[in-house]
Amino acid sequence: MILLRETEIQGVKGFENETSADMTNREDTSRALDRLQVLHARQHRRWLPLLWLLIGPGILVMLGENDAPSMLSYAATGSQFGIGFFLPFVLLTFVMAFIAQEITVRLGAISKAGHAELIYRRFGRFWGNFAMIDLLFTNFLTLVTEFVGIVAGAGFFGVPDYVAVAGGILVITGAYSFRRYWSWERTVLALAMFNLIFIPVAVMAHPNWGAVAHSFFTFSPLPGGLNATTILILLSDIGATITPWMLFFQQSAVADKGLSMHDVNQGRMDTAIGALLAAVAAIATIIATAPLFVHHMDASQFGAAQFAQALVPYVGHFGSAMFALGILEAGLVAATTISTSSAYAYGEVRRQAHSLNKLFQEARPFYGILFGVLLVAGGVVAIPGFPLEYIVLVVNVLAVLTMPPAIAFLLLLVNDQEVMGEHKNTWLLNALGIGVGVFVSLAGLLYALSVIFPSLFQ
Amino acid sequence: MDTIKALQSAEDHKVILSELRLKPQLVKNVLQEYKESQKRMQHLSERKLGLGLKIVMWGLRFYVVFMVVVVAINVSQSIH
Repeated sequence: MILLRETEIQGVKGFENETSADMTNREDTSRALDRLQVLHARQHRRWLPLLWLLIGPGILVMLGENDAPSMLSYAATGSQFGIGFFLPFVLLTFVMAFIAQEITVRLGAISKAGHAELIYRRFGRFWGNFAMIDLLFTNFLTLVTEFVGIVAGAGFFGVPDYVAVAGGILVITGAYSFRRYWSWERTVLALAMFNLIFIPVAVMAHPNWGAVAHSFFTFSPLPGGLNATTILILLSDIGATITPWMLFFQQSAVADKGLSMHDVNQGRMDTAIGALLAAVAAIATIIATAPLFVHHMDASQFGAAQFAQALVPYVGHFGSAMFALGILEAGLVAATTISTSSAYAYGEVRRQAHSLNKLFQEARPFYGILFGVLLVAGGVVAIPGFPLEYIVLVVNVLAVLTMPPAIAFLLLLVNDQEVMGEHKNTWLLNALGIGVGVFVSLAGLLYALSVIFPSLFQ
Repeated sequence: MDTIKALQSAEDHKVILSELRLKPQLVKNVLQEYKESQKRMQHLSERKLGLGLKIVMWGLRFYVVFMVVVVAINVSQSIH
């Protein structure tokens, strides 16, 4: 097996002969440093260190998608439906997310271009603008809800709203202070691991583990059957797992990280690990709030803070505090990744510098968009009387409704001979991708029917 | 190869970055595949969508617009 291309080996061996004192730019040297470590691990068949070096975009995007509105969606699911149908359903949604996100790994590794850039280059400004409008609109609404989550999580500990917003922006800004993609990625990954805090909360809820196992085999029970509320929760849970920003973020992050075609398998593993971790955290959240369903508590209007308070009798103050911390973390990580996906897309479309390996001075528009959307979204949350609850209500639903065109562009690009060469999709991957698109579209149509003809679902 | 080990084990990445900046040929060799792919994408031409694909893309566009209206109706129903 050839572990290194000839040019890569020459590069690794030839450095002793360097005499030139020419400077190379920071982005290239940062990426070259990362690549040298990957080459070294691969050459010495150190597979675990190699995996460690290459994981990141997949885990970040999956745990980042377990954002504040998503965790609230799962909490609502557990409180309204208990342990049953939705546990295996959520697992299924993460399988669909993996199918879509795996494509972005290959696209990013082969093309070294972000998703927005490829759409603009290949389909032109007209279709590119449509994709961008969907992305930036849903991203902004989602960012607002992330700050809602940050405020709610911090509010459980008595932190005032404006302090929570300011503190959140400071923490997120701090992650970008390293001015290297690798350092930013590792920092946010460490923060994202706190998403697993919902697992001990689930254990503390003392669930019926037999019922949990039964639900995975039978997809039951589904209390109330298929009514308008169920359909809304269904759509919200799909939107909690599969959204357009994930496609844009992961492909751009894979390109910024510098993954090569030889790294695709590790990129797949990264995405699979991320999907598994996020699915476990999501299922744990449903289990954690299931006691509210068992005790017939009406949690349909609950926000994050109310969920944490309502759980005190079942998981104790410590468990409730962990739940609130989890919501806070979910908002922080997602605010970071979503604002980065907006900045990547903007930079790609405007053909300006767009790398986390660049200094602020070298990529002012990129960082300007990144911090700008954060400040505006945080500011909206601080406006007294702003109808935030409606934004939280619709954001997950909107995300899934804008997925079909995003999946269509994704499949067109990954089957494009000029882009992918010999690495384009097989018929099986195409079937799976089309299946995800059809499923998401049908879910949207079912939701539309339930809204326009509510009597059909009573 | 000793220098690679030194590069890997060094804790001060700033020192490593500044060393690499003085070795542009090494950086160029390591990033050759990256740069070649980037160059290929820069020369990518616009693809003309066939009639069938245009219908699908416009159909999906109308789907999104329709769904945004449905969401607005749903929010209005929730308010009232």
